[in-house]
Amino acid sequence: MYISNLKLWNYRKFGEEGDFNPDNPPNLNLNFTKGLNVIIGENDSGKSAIIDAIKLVLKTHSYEYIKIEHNDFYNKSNRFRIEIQFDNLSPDEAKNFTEWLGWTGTGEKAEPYLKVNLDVKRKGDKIFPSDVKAGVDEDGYQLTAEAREYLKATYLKPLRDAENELIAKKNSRLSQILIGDEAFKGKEKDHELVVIFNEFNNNLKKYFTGELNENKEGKVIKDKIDGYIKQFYSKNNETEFETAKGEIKSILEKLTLMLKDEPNPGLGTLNRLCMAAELLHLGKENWTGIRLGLIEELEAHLHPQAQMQVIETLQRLDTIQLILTTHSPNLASKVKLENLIICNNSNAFPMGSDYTKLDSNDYKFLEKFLDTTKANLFFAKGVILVEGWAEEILIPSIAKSIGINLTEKGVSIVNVGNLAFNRYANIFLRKVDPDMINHIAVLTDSDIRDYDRKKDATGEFIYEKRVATTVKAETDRKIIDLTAKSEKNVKYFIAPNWTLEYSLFKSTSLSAIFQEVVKAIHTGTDWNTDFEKSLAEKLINKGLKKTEIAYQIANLIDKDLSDFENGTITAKRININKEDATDSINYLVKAIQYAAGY
Amino acid sequence: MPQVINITDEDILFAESILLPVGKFFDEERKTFIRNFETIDLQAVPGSGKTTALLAKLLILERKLPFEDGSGILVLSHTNSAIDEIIHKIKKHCPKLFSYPNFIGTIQSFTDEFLAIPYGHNILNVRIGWIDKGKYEERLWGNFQRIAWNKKFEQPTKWFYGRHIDRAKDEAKIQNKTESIICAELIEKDVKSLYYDFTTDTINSSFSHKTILKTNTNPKFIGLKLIIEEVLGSGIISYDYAYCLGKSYIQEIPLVKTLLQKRFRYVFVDEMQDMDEHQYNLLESIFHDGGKSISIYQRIGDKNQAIFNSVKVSDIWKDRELVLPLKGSQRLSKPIADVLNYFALYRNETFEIVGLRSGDLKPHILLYNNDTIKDVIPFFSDIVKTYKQNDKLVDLDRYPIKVISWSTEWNTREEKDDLAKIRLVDYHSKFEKNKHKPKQDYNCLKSYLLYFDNRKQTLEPIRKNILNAFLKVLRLEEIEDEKKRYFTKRTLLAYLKDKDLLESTNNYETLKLHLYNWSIGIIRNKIEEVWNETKLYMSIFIRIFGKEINKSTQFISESICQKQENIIENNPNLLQVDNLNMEVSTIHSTKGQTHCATLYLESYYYQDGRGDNAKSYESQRLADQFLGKPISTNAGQHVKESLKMAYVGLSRATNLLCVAVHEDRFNKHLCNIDKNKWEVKKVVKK
Repeated sequence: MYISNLKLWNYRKFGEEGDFNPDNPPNLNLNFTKGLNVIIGENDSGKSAIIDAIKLVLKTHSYEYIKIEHNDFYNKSNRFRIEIQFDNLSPDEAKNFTEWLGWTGTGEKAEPYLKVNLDVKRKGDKIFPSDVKAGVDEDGYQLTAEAREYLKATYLKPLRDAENELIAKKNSRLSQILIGDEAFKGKEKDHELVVIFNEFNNNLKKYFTGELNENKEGKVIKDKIDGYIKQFYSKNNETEFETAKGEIKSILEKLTLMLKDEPNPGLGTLNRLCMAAELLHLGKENWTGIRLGLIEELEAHLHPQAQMQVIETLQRLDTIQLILTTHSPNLASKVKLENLIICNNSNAFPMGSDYTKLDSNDYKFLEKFLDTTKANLFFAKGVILVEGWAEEILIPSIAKSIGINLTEKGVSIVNVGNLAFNRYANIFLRKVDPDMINHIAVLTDSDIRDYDRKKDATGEFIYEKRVATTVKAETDRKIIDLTAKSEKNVKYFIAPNWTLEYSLFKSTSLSAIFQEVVKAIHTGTDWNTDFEKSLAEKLINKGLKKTEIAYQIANLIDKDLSDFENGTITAKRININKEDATDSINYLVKAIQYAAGY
Repeated sequence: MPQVINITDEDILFAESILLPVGKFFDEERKTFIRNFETIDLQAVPGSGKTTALLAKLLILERKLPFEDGSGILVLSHTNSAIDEIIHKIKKHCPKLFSYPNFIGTIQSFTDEFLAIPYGHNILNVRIGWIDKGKYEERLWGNFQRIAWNKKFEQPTKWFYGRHIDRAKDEAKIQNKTESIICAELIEKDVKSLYYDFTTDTINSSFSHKTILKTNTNPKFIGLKLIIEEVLGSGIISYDYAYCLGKSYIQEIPLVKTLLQKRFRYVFVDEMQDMDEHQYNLLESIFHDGGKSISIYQRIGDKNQAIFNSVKVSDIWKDRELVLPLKGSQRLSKPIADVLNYFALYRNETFEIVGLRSGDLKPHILLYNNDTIKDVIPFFSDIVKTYKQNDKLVDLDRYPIKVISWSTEWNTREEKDDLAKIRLVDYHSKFEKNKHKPKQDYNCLKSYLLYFDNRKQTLEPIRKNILNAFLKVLRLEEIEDEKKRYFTKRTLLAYLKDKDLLESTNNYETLKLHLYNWSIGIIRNKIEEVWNETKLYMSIFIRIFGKEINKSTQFISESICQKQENIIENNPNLLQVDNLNMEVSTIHSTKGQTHCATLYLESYYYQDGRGDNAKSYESQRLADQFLGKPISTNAGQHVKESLKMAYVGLSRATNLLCVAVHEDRFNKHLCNIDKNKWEVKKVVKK
């Protein structure tokens, strides 16, 4: 069995104003997959709320004190509700919940499911106690303590004190984990370890009574202490040395888990030891309840390399459902896209093929090409997808010069390095409600040449300007075609003049500086006769040093701005008019504004 | 000083937004009731939405909860289905109302929980675990066998024989059974219904509605009291007994009344007219308490529709000083409401029924004769079709079409063949009165697997049934727990769990797994497989208790024992004529329903008077009302009963109401009927 769906009404940040009405659609309606689920999102995006909601209903094996707080209620609302559905129950699991089970399908195809809810109200300062209930209707029937035991999750808290969990002490986590295992269960008195320990205890006693061997040091100590004891009590009293009592629980409490040959393990090591121990708990045999691990901030103490090792291991555990949170792009890039849940704008979006418009080839492609740098698009509030380095370098500077700080706005520029825009854009397009609301701007060229290359009679290439009306007609058509690919929160912005560089050249605001830079970089070219024609020639022959040009222009724009801000110059040399739609680089401005949420 | 409940316009708007369709509002008479928090009665005409008004009140009260003094609200109705409807409609909006200290349930569940069980616990020192008629009777009858012929108790059977033989002789004349068989049956019924009243120290019979033994030194008294106390001691009482114990509780410890009044500051009872006398009196003595009660007690219902309690007992419900009316009926159109008006039994000067629904179809009288009686229903369906085509039946998609009658079947062949005696089966010969209803106790294992309450969408009712079957086997095999009591579901599971711990067995988990597999198996239509598996497991199960299957063999292996058919398939009461679905049923079962079209079939009910003046049918007893005159004050009992029945039956339809009357009776009694109010049509043979 596993959690297939979580619904929240007015819980923490997932809520809405107005009277609570359970007929309203939930404020969060999130599906989980059977195995690994990685929830990613920035701080305060609701990741922990999801984990906490599950914990609140299911409780955990670690006997933490979990209680309902006032800040569990959304804003001023007086009622919240959590609903969790479990699917895929095997008969051995289902038997623990028979009274509460509903079923889907009819006749032979009927399959059981369990729906559990917690509905909490408050009035003023008072939060009314409420029971966890289960059933098909909204209300359900109270779950017994016995049934609830089978729903408990294993929870690994963030920044946990791994060392403290693994050392020997009374009720240590390690002992709790071990005692639940088949190896120890039901063998409290006659386990092999108990026999060994009893023998050791015997020898211990003999050491202090001097019966072990010739060495009487132990007896001397005991005699001294006994001397006092006999005075304190009576002649009949004496002391006894002992380690653990001869029962399995106290023996297990004496154990410490270490990494072999690692006398002083760092936090990272302890963390992994801790996780490994907890996995034993999740994988224990003869357990007919849910096997659910909740792990917060896996990356807390793990360096990126270790994160990847751990995540790759976790992905292989198919009998255990894991729900973990992270804000590490490292982790995100390593996890299969289908296992990701993006959390933003008070919503959560599973990335499986049932939900996104990605097709199976897209998944294969993205798995290959999603690296750490691209993975940060999951965390962005807005994204600009570009096809090359030139745009990636130039856009932040243009943004700054029109007064938009992309970093502050949480906008990521992702260089897809090719024309696979669709695949990346489809990450953000949903087959099912709700839609994502972060803006995705796709920047691309119209790619309609202003010049043709032909061979003259002698076989030499000649470059000939095409008829303006033809170019215009083709460009318009292309722009219409590309714009039509815009959908919902994904919008296309197209260079109206052939390419980025050609548009820069045609720009009313940047043409001068563009020409200056090009001339400085391509010194061996004759630019003075006909700049346009020379540029066209280089574009057709792919001889233009686009990246370097972009870099230089970006530098100049930045310098111009900082000189102006320092007061070195009194007026900016480069002035981009945001409103000037006739400026051929205005599409860049529009893309920046869109991604930044304007 | 209890806080004052102040209902704002905003509160009312809130209730409207949840209960009413967009654009509809409560009218003044409903608002008056919603705002009222005094001890009053609400008398509401059919289709006036009184329950909706009550729900509005509850929704608003939810917003004022909890009360500062810690008191709560009590909401009672008569049937589980009425309570289910309240739950279904507002529970999700009212988490506080549906939890402590409030109580919403049937009068029976209230009596059980707050009176009978505490009385057993506190006074009799008995933990009451079963409140069930069948189990009580089964146990009592079993115990009776021990004293039945015992001379020490003066052979009670002989005495019972004397009590019933005369009636048995009478009945033997009209039934195909001997008087001794009938007498034995009567004795069994009588004994099974016995109970001991702790307050009056008497032995009573619910079957004969009277106290049968008063002298507590009488050996019969001693014997019967002994066996009743034995059953009680094992934690079993009947439904009726719960009321008797409840009454004893408040009589012996009057403080209980005060405590209940403090616990429930507001008491609302819906469907008040259906309360039986003992229920009425119990509620009255606790929550009215001769006017001394601190609870606000509001009774809601319609006296004119009281067809469920023993109608012979007249006028149980005595009006309070202030009676609020709901006169407007959302269900009825003006033509139907106007006609119905005269069929009301209780009508003060201001009584009226205002038909608020649009619609101009006059009620129809369909005249048939001995030749065309079987054509009444087809003729009715033709009328329905015609009006459907003329777009007169605007509610056809929302409400059903029903054919209803008061008396349905005949006891003897002679009566059935008598052409002058007409009941529902004479119009529709396939009619069967006893449709299957889920109940707790069956005669064979397989029935437990087949007949479960399928209204609940979880496996719970199936699991419960299977467990009940196991409990039945334990009872048949006379296996009891350590305290010599029958096992309950709870004690059985606890017993198995404990035993597993002690003996390192795994019976509890095994049974749990079986229960799941069988429950889902039944949903998957694998009844035979499940039956076979339960049969196999049963002997293993019984061995846990160190016994072998013996007395329950028949119960386990019998395959057709209950004559119940599955209602969904071949329900003889469902008719389909030219794509119109109609259901044939009793008037009793249509209580509370709304129909698009109703065909009311008049039927034979006793005979008053002789010859030409003989009265057995509605058209005879209620001729005045058909002609537009109210009932006379000195009307006889059968007339009053007919009137209430007709009032319920005639007030179901939104669009079309038809009443089938024999043309002989029509010509004799109704020929002067107002043709402006009634449309009269003759049934044509098809």
